[in-house]
Amino acid sequence: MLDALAHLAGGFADVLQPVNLMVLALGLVLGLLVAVLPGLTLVMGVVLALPFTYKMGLTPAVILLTAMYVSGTYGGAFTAILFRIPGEPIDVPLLWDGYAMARRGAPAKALGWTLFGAFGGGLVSALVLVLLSEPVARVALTFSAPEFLAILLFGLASVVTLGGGSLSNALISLFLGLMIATVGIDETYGTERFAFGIPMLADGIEYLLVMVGAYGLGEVFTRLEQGFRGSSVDTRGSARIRTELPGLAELLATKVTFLRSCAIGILVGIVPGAGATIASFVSYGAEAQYGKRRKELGSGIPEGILAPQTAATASVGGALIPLLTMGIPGSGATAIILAAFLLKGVQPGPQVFVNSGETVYAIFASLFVAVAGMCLLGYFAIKLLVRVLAFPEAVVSAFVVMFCFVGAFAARNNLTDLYVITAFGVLGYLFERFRFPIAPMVLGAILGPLAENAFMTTMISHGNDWTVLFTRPVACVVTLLSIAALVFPLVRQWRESRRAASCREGAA
Amino acid sequence: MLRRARRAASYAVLLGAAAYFYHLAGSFEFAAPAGRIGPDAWPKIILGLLAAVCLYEIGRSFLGSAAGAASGLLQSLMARAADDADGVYIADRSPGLLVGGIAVTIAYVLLVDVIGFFVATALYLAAFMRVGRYRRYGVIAVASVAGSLALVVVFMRIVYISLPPGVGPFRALSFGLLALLGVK
Repeated sequence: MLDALAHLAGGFADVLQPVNLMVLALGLVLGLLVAVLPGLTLVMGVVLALPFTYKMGLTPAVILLTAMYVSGTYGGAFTAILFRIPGEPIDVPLLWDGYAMARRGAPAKALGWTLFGAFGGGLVSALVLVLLSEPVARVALTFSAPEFLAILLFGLASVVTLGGGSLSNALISLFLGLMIATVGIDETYGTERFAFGIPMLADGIEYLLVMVGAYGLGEVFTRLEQGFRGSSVDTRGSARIRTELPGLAELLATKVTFLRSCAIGILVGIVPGAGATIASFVSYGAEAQYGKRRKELGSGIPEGILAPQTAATASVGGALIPLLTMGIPGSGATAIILAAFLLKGVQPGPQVFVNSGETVYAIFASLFVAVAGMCLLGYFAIKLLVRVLAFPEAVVSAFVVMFCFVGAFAARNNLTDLYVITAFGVLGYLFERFRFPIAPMVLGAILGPLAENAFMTTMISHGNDWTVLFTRPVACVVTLLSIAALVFPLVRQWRESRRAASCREGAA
Repeated sequence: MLRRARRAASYAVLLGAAAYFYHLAGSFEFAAPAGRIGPDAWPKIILGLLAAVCLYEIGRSFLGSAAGAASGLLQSLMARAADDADGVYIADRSPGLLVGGIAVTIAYVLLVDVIGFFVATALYLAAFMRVGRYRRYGVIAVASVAGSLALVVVFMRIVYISLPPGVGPFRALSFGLLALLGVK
């Protein structure tokens, strides 16, 4: 542990270099802006920032994206609490108590509770990230292909079971993503697959194009069809907005909520496929189930603000653990951070502490600085931040599309990639329209090559014996968890149907 | 019955596609030692699972209840939240706007290599804002021209990405503009 702290001190020295500090501040501002603007999601924002990192070194590139990721979990709180507009789905639970508290005449207090939640949750999760990552990476070094295959299958199963949409549609979305990843030359035999003689397809479909198209363009098309918002939000009163931090006695009274929310946020963040949104909802749900003042939830109590905000920000540190230690991105934002690593020729995974230890500790340190900086910005710059709500969505969206195009083009300097992202933009829209979740497709496209590689290695080295997934202890436990994850929604649905049937019988 | 058939149609299309790609996977050419799985194994497993899910949904469309499908955790949580959020409401749809947006986007992709990044981007930004029902033409003009210029400066001078200059007179225009901006 002392080693980790010594390395962390070195990381702080790196982060405090002027260039890194400037990049971090930029990332924080961009993350907050993206979260405040309803037309832009956190993942879209991080995607749009990626092309700006092409010419940066690895450390500032990852610092920029991580800073955006962490501040993106906080910025939307302002608009949710003050204007009842959740900038992100993460912020929906803040409407229930945050907006209610603001309506009762205490908006400054509500903002103070979100600030404390984001600050505390962020710092605790950063600490857990520092303490857990190296031991987890050491354990991961002992894993073979079957264990990695089992972990990847768990990641794919959890994105289906935790995400949006029906289970069938989520599975279809996932299988389409996995199929997209098979297009091109296969790694084991060098065979061309599903390319139809088209050179562009023979090169394979970059998962970045899938992400930029489906998340970026797809979201813009969806909102365009629904009609963009004009600058209908009146932000003229923003000059009076301020933040009032909770007192020590109030903090002590909510310590159980805080600790529980930190734990939920970190654990949910670690699970591949779950992110800040699920952490926020699950934490609010836990408060409703186990909180001391659960009966008052929804009336504007601090616990209802603290629980979702703390968990949302705490999920960031959790999500970075599987990314850095096993190279498995658990969410859209961490997938883009993975892309930044890969673009610089660094593969995150168990070896990352050996090969790029300095960078990793600089990222850890940047998370602490980012959490503190984000809260300072939130405290002092809130009046300016909420003014971006006055930007017309049509103008913002036009520029979002342009950033998507330039980002996609710049990755390979290939104009044909623009056709690919436009196609995935339309596909992303169709997915939204027909209620197929996008996240499983994107995660399938990202994890597909890793999963296939682990599958082929496992099968070839174990004589095509798939039961190896059940005969090795770690692989067996994780495979059973994957099966449980897929069965869980079916059981939940069956129980809900039975409950509904018994209610109907009771009424009859 | 028609509603059920319509619901099943999309899954039937996917099932057909899965069958077609499964057939394609069977014709991959590769040389593997006897008994070793080939590059077709992984896609065939995925396509088999995809077909199974589609068959299940087609069966459910005709035999079961359309309501009450098992869903992901976030879906259940968001469903409960939908009434409370302004940002997650289901708005009226305007297919005309969508078609217009997709059309100008495709036009941009087709034209950017011919008329160059600056001109294509300025036109696209203006057209997209207009399609998005933004009516302040002064803002549209300034935002599209200044925005395109800003993008050229940011990407060519700061991020060093080579953007398409176009052909013929558009190429001359792009290089003239780049010279004015000090980009070599």
